[in-house]
Amino acid sequence: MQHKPLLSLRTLWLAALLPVIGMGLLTGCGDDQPAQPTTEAPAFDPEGMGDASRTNTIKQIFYAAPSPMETAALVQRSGAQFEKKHMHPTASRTRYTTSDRQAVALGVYGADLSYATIFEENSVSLEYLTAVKELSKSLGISDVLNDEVMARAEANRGDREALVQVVSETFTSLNEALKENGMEDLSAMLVLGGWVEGVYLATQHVSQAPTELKARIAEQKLTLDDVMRLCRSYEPTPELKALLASMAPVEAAFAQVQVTEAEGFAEQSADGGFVVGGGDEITASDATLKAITTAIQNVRTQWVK
Amino acid sequence: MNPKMPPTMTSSFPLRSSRVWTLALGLVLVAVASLPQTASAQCRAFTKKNCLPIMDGYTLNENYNSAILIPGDQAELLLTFLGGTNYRLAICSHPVLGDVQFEILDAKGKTLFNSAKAGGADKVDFRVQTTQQLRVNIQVPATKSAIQHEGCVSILIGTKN
Repeated sequence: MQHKPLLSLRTLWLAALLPVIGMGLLTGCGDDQPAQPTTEAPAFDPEGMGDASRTNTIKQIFYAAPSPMETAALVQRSGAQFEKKHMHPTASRTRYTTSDRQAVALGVYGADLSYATIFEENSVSLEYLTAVKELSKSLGISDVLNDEVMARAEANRGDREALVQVVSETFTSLNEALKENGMEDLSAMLVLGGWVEGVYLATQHVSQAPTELKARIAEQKLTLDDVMRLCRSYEPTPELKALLASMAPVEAAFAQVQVTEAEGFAEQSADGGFVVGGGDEITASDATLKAITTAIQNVRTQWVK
Repeated sequence: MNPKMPPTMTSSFPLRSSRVWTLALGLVLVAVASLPQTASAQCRAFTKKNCLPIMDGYTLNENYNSAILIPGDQAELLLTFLGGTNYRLAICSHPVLGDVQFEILDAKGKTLFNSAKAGGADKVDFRVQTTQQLRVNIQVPATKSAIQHEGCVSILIGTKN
């Protein structure tokens, strides 16, 4: 006896494809195509608004972390000198063959690139920008660092501020590209790799500016909190879980940092803004600083070779 | 049953049918799952086009946040601001949402800045002397309108040396 289908295959295919076709119609109008007039309410237009798709209000929690550029600026302001030997060699970039390792390495190279750029080591910056370009190509997001961006960086090799902007825009776009391609976990890995490398570089300069850098490294207890919250806000893939687990010794070391509560203040400044001062005092003993340095060095060695 | 049909083929249609249903379900799930991502991508396009110019002269934090909010929604960001750094914080929202307000609070909940008291400012420049975590609260005004709209809200943070 031959089985008779309840629905024909053609009907099933149509049922399956309808939502996809619908999505195509909804999302097909990009910036470079004029919107078509329609009698139905648009779901969400390219200008950033649409009819509300829900009625209940929510509290949206945002996550962010200071960028490696900010950490590099802390090292520079301490009076420390640039030392290329602490950077992760660009020749190692070919060793990373899986996307999770490539994302971490991208973060590490990004922090190194920020460090070189802040210290106006422009030829080193361009060398690291090339490494970033090649790694992003391996991750399938090569559009970000196209020939135009590379040419802009080359043309501005003598202008620190212009290079800072190129680096910042590049990493903003890389983060976006990863998210838009459904690789949010890799975006988290990039941030984590950048944070570890930024703090690693700071720890390697302590002998040059002990008082200042000890204080700045201790304060990274707060930025570690930011970074871990940001990374834990993403879907925990096995690779991201493993990476976050490997941060446990770093978290344990920073847990020894002392935070003494104190009143903060804000004063109006002449330009209409304000100045924030005071607040909790954050300190670390030499033993804690040594524990942080070791933990950061160990986790970095696990991630990049 | 067709006696010529080998045993493994006896259930060929049910097997093919279940595969088709699985495929159909998969495609539906992909389409539904891509809805918020598409809106989110459009929000990023909105931010690039309308908001980034506000940060001129500042180096943008690479992980800026944007979301699609409706009237009455709130948003919150907790972030460490590093000592010795000049910051610009901007809240950029679609005009359909009205005057989106924000305030900056210190770790103890003391308000340091309130945009409503600053003439409805959409950005503020400040200098942080000592590293600390600050909380940014964003409020989209509620509306009594029968037709509600949703729009993008982005929070941008930039630094200047």
